[in-house]
Amino acid sequence: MEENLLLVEKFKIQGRDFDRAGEASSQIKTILKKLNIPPSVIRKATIAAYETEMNIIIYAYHGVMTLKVYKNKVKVIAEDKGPGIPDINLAMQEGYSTAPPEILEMGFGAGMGLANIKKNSDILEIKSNVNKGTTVTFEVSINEQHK
Amino acid sequence: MNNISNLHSIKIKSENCVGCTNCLRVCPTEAIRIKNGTAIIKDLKCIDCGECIKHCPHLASWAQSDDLRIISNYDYRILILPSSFNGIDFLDIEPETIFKRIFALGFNEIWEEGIGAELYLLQTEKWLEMNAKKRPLISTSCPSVIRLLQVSFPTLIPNISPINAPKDLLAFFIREQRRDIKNLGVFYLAPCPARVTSVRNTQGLKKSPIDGVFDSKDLYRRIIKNNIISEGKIFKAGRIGLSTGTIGGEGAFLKEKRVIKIDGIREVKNFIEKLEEEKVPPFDFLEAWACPTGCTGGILLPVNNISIASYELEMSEKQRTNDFSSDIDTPKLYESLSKKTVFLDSKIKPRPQYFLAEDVTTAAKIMEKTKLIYSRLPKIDCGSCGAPSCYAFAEDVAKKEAKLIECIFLGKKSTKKNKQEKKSAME
Ligand SMILES: Nc1ncnc2c1ncn2[C@@H]1O[C@H](COP(=O)(O)OP(=O)(O)OP(=O)(O)O)[C@@H](O)[C@H]1O
Ligand code: SF4
Ligand SMILES: [Mg+2]
Repeated sequence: MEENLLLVEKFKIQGRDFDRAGEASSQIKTILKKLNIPPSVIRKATIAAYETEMNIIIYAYHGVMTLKVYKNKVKVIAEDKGPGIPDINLAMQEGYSTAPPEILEMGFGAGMGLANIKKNSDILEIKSNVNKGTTVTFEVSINEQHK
Repeated sequence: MNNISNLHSIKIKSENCVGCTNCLRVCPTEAIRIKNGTAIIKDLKCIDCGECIKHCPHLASWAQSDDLRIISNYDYRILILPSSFNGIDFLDIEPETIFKRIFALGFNEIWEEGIGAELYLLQTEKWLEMNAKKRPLISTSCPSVIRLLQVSFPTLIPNISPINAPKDLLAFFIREQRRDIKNLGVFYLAPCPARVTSVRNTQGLKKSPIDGVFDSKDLYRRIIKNNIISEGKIFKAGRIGLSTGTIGGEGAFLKEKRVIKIDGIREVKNFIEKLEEEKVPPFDFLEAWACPTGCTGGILLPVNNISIASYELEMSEKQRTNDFSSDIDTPKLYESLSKKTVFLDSKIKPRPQYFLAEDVTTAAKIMEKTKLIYSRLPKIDCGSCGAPSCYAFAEDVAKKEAKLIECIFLGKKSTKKNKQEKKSAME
């Protein structure tokens, strides 16, 4: 049993399901609000969760996002089955994107998503196997100063 | 004054309430529960939007305001009329006669809120020029929207404009202009319960510059019935000021800026959710109104149809000859106003009502419990338990604010009496 773990919630995400895009991160936001997590932490975690969720919808086949709330941090683990990311460092660069034209048309594909996750989290870890899938894990810590 | 009762002006007349679930379903913050056949309002959750009043067929939901007689406590009395006042159809009574009848009620001066709106818009424009960073700026004009942010969207509180709402800005301005008058009373005619509350329980202001706030419907009745007239001074707004009585007025003035305008509390809430999640393209100014069409849709405004009210307002706008007030030179004056007149003087604090408990650990436990309870509920949101949805009910039970047997489906199964009844019915 992990120490200080208060709550676990899982969300299923379907690739290319744009109708429900943003639902998981929206629910994560609601849960964090109900738990009285400091607003600045909620803001960061929600933005990072949204980028993560959109990447699964756009690039992967399907995935699961797990929200873990601890006393001192919010953690999101997003595992997907998909093409994977061949060069993570390259993908992390602002402006790098492999988004196809129809995705660009929808307003995505600026290549800012992963950078945005990094900016809004305290720890970010990306593991990927080409042709298998990707796992994005990030944490936003809850400091005393937030309270 | 009692703080709790000042948190909102909407009250329930229990003798009229039959416990139907109309209000329950329309409340945007889920502030209403039905307990023992009567609706009750959760004080901290209510944002005074007036949806419940609009949807109550039994006239049980109503709004509290001040008694007009309080003006006799002041020697010199000034009334501020809301911009939406010009949306009221006064039948055949001439505008000048309306003013004269208001003076006869005991007022020495009448000021149109639109003058405040002109100063407010000029200041807002300047502020947007000088502060390129804080975007979008959220208008302070609708206090119900401000409350919604406090109750449900605290992350957006820093985006609230630092500039006083038009009526407050004007009231401060009047006080400065009339500072030599002793025992001056400045009053406001409210189009809605939210503005009543904004005087009694200020947000972002240590003290309201307004001494009393009256119900527009009540004043309307007096104007129609009473044909006594008297004289006084009138200060009128220009077209720009008047236009803020309905949606689009603020945006039209700030036409150089990117303005998003929304009316109706559900639409507002929906939009703000997106804004909070940063899913809205960049823009400069948010003009958001709790009421459909803006203040012409105010619940205390004596109008039968809000579209007609907006139309009436537009017609009276057309009759004004100047863009800005002809009585007060607003474009010249706005830069010389004191800081106190223009800006809020304290922080708008979150009034978080969405969380389950102050402390995360307790909140997480309640959430787990809620999930468990919810899984046992029929999920048909019938409202018989007195909560707006099965999920809200599960949460109430987890918080020990309701009992599981109040659900008519679970209650049926679990009470002994019911079991016996069932048994005998089967036999
Ligand atoms: N879950 C994933 N599976 C496979 N590839 C991914 C995944 N997430 C990101 N990528 C790859 O990394 C690139 C960069 O991702 P990033 O989120 O930073 O930008 P983007 O999605 O292209 O654009 P934006 O997020 O600004 O709309 C993507 O174009 C894609 O090639
Ligand atoms: S839109 Fe106007 S009338 Fe309606 S609640 Fe807001 S301020 Fe009051
Ligand atoms: Mg992306």
